[in-house]
Amino acid sequence: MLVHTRQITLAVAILLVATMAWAGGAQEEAAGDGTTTLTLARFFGDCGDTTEGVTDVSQATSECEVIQILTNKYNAENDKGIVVERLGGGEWGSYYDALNTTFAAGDPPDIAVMHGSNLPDYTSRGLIQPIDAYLSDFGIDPSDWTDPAQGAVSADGSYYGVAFDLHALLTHVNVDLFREAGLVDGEGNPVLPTSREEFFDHAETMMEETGKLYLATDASQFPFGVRLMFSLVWQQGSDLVSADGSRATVDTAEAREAVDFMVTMFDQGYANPEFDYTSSERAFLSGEAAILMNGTWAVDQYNREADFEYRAMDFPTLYDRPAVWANSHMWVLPAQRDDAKYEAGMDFLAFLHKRTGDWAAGTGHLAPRRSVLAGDTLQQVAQRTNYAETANIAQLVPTIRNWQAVEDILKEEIESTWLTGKSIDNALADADRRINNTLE
Amino acid sequence: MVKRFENAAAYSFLGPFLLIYVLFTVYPVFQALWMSAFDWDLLSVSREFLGFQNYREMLFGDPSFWRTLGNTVVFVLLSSPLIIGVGLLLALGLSGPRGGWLRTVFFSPYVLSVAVTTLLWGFMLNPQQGLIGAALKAVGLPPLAWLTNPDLAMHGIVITTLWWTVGFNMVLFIAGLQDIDGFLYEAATIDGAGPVRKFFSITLPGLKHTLTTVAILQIIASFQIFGQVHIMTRGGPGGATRVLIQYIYETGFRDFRLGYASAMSVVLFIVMFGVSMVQLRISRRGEVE
Amino acid sequence: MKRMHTRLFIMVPVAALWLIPLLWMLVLALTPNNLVQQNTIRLVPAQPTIENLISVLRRGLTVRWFMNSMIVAASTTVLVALSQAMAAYAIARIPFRGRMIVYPMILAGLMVPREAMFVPLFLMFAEWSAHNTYAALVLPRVAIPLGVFLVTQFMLAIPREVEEATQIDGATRWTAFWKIVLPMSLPALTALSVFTFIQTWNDYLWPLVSATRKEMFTITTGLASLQGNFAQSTELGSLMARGVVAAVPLLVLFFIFQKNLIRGISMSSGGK
Repeated sequence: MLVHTRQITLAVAILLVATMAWAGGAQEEAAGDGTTTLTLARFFGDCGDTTEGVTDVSQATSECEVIQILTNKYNAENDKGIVVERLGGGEWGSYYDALNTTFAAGDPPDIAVMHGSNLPDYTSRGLIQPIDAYLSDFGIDPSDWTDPAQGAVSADGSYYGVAFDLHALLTHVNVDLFREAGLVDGEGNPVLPTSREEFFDHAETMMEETGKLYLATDASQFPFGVRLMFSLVWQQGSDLVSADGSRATVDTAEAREAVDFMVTMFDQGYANPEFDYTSSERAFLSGEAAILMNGTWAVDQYNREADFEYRAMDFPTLYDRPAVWANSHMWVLPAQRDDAKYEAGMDFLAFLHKRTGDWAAGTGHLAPRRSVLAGDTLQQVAQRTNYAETANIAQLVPTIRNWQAVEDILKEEIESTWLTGKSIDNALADADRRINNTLE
Repeated sequence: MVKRFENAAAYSFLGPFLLIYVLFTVYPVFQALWMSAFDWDLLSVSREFLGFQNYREMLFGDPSFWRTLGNTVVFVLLSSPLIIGVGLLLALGLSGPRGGWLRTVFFSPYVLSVAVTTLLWGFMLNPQQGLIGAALKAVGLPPLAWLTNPDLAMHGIVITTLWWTVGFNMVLFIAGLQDIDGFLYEAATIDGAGPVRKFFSITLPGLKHTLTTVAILQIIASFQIFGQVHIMTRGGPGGATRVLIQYIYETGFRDFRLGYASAMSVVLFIVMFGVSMVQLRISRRGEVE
Repeated sequence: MKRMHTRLFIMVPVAALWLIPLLWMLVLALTPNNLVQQNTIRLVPAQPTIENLISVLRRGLTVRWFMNSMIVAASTTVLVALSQAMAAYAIARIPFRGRMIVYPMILAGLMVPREAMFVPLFLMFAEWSAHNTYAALVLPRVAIPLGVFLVTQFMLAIPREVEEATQIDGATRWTAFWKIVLPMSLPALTALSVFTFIQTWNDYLWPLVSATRKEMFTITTGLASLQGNFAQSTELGSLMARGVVAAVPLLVLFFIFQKNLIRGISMSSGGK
C-alpha cells in the first residue's frame, strides 16, 4: 500500500520538477552561434508590429517607431553578432515599477532607458554600471554633451549613462484658429501671452471669436499639471524642492500662484479638466482647441498629421523670467554579476549616441550634443527654428532620490484642486508634508 | 472499537499539497509579518529593524493609506450590493427550464481575462469614442467622461466589474434556487400568497446559505480589486480610484519600501479576516433564531 | 408558463445589451485601423477585413502569450485537482494522528488574501532565481486550499461502504482512491477545475511582478502592457483584434462546456 502512495508522491514531484526544468529551459534560450543577445528595457511604447523589418529611420511616424527602427537598424548592421531584444511593456506609467521588479528579481535588463530625474535611485544603490572607462574606446566625448545633459547622466563624479535627449514642454499651436481669433501679429504669426492677465484675455478672445477651447492638455493621466507647475514656479524665481534636494518647498506663494493659475484656467472653461492624453490630442488635431500643451516628442507627428497650419512654439513666459519644465532621456547599463555584456551594451549605446541627431529630427526632442546642435542638419527640419529658444530656457527637474514618489504625490495633490475642488492651501500643505516624508 | 491510524498512508496523500501549501501560503504570511518590522529596501540589502514603527506610520502618519483604504471600502460598498443584487435578479429571471441560453450570455464575460475586459470598457466608457457616450448623445444628453472625472471614475470601474463578474453570482443563485423545495411554492399558492409574499417568505429564506456564500466571496474579491484600476485609471484621476492593493504595489515596487508594503498587507489580511468572521457570525446567529 | 414568457420578454433585451460590448470589440477588430481611428461608433463593420486578426496571429507575441496562459492555467488546474484531491482523500477517508490540526490549518489558508501576500512570494522566487518561469506562475496558485475544502466535503458524503467493499478484496488505499473515490468525486473535481482554470487565467498582479520578460507574459499581462499607450488611438483596430484573439478561444471553450461549467460552479458554492 505504501509503495503506491510513494509512487504517486513521486509522480507529483517529478511533474513539479519537470515544470521547473521545462520553464527554466524556456527562459535561457542561449544561442550557440556566437551571437550575443542583449535585453533592452524602454518606454516610448510598443510598435514592433508596424516596424517589423524596417531599418530606414526616415519612415518613422512616431517616437516609438524612431527608436524601434534604430534598434532594428543596429541589429541588422552591427558586425559583432549582437542582437538587442526589447523586454515587454513599453508603457510609461508602469515602466519604473516593472524595471524595479526586474532588478529585485535579480534579472535586470542589459540596457535600460532612464530619465535623468530617476537616475539617483539606482546609482545610490549601486545598480548602474559607471561607464567612464568605456567612453573613449567607444568614441564618445562627454564634453560634447551640453551642460544639462552632462548633469543628467552623472552622479558622484562618474558618468552613468549616455545622454539621448532633453525634452521640454512646448506650445503646439493651431495657427488657423489664432488667425480667426485675431491673436496674430502684423505678419500673421500667432501671439502667445506674456503675462497671466494676457493669457486669460487671449483665452477669452479665443472663446468668443471661435467658440473653441484656448488650451487643451492632459489633466489627469500623465503628470502634465506637475510639468506646468514647475515651469510657472521657476518663472517666478522659486522652486518646489530645496537646492540640496533635502526638503520640499511646495507650500509657497509662488506655488500657490501657479496652482491658482491652473485652477482658474480649468474653472473658467478655457481648458477641459476631463481630458486625458489621448483626448487632449484628439481635441487639438480635430481643431477643437487652439493650443495643445504637450512635449517636444510630438512635434513631427503633429506636423504630419494636422490638417490645419500647425506650429510648435516655445513655452510662453507669463512671469518674471523664461523657464520651462524639462527632463532628459539617457541609456544606462544595469550592473551585472559578470561584466561580459558591458562591452556589447556599450556598442549599442555608442550607436545610439551617434544617432541622437536622427532621434531629435524624427521626434522633436532637443539633441544633447553641442556638435549636433551646432550642425545645420537639424535646423532644416520642419518647425525646429520655431522653438529654438526652448533649448536655452529648458530647466531640468531636480535630481533627487524617490523622484517618482515625489512626482506622483505632487500630481495627485494639485490635480485634486481642479478635479475635486480641494482648496489650494490644503493641497499645497498636504503635498509639502507628504513630500517631506518621502524625502526623509 | 479501537481506531486504527494509518499515519504513513495519510501523510503520503497529504504530502504533496502540504509541501506546496506551507511554502506558498503559510510561510508568506509569517514572512510578511517579519518583514513588516523592518525598513526593508527592495533593491539593496539594507534592512533596519523598526519594531512597530511601520504600523505607527501607517495608522497615524500616512493619509494615503487611509485614502486608499477608504477608496477600497467605497468600491466594496458600491460594487458588492450591486453585483450581488443584479446577480440575484438575473437568477430569478432566468431560473427554470427556458433560461439556459440566456444564462450563457450573462456568464460569458466572466471567462474573459481582466485585460480584455478593461480594453473593452476603457473604450466603452470613453466619452468621444465609446458606445455609452454615443448612446447618451443620441438621447440628447452630454457624454460623461467616466474615467477622467473623479466623481464618476469609481462608478466606471464598478460598471466594468458588474458586467464582467455578475454571471458568476447569478449561477450561484440559480443553484441555490434549485435547492428550494418546489412544494413550498405550491403550498403558498394554495394559501393565496402573491409573488412578493412568496419571494420574501420562501425564496429569500431559502437562499440564506447561498447569500452568505456569495456575500463572503464577493466581499473578499472586491477588497482585492487591483487589475481593473491598475489598467484603466492607474488610480486616477487625482487618486480617486487608487485602491489599497495598488498602494501596496506602489509602495513596494515604486518606492522600494517592502517593509511598509508588508505591514499594509498584514493589515488588509486582518481587515478581511475580520469582515469574513463577522459575516459568518451574523449568518450563524440567524440560524439559531 | 405565462410568467416564464413575461420574464423572458424582459430578459432577452437585457441579454442583448450584455452582448453589445463583445459585438463591438469584434466589429472594431474587423474594421481597418484608419476607419476605426475616424469613428469608433459602429456596430457593423465598414469594409470588413480580417487583416487586423491575421497580423495579430502572424506578428507580435499575442499567440505566445495566449499559449503561456494556456500552459499556466492547465498545469495549475491539473496540479490543483490532483494534489488537493489526494489531500482531501486523506482528510475524509484515512484516520490519522493530527487530522484535527491539519484540516483547520488548511482551512485557515482560505482567509489569506492572496493578492496582498505577493511581496514575500516575490522575494522567495527572487532568492531561487525562479522568476520568469512557468513554475513561478503556477505554484503559488496550487497552494490555495479551496479545493481541499470542496473535495473533502464531497468525499465525506460518499458512503463508506462502497470503499470498504473493495478493501476487503485486498485493494490498496491508492486503488480505492484512484478507482473508486476519485471517479465518484468527479462533479466536485470538475467544479474545482473550472474555477481554478478561470481564476488562473485571470491572474494579474502575480504574473505582473513575476514574469517580466515579454516571452513569459500571460495574455492578461501582455494585453495590459499594450493598453494605455500614447499610440493606442492609432492602432485601435489591431488592439481590439488582440482582444478578440484572447477572448474567442475561451468563449468557444465555454460554449462547448457551458453546461458542465455552470453546474460545476454551482457545486463549488457548497450547494448540494
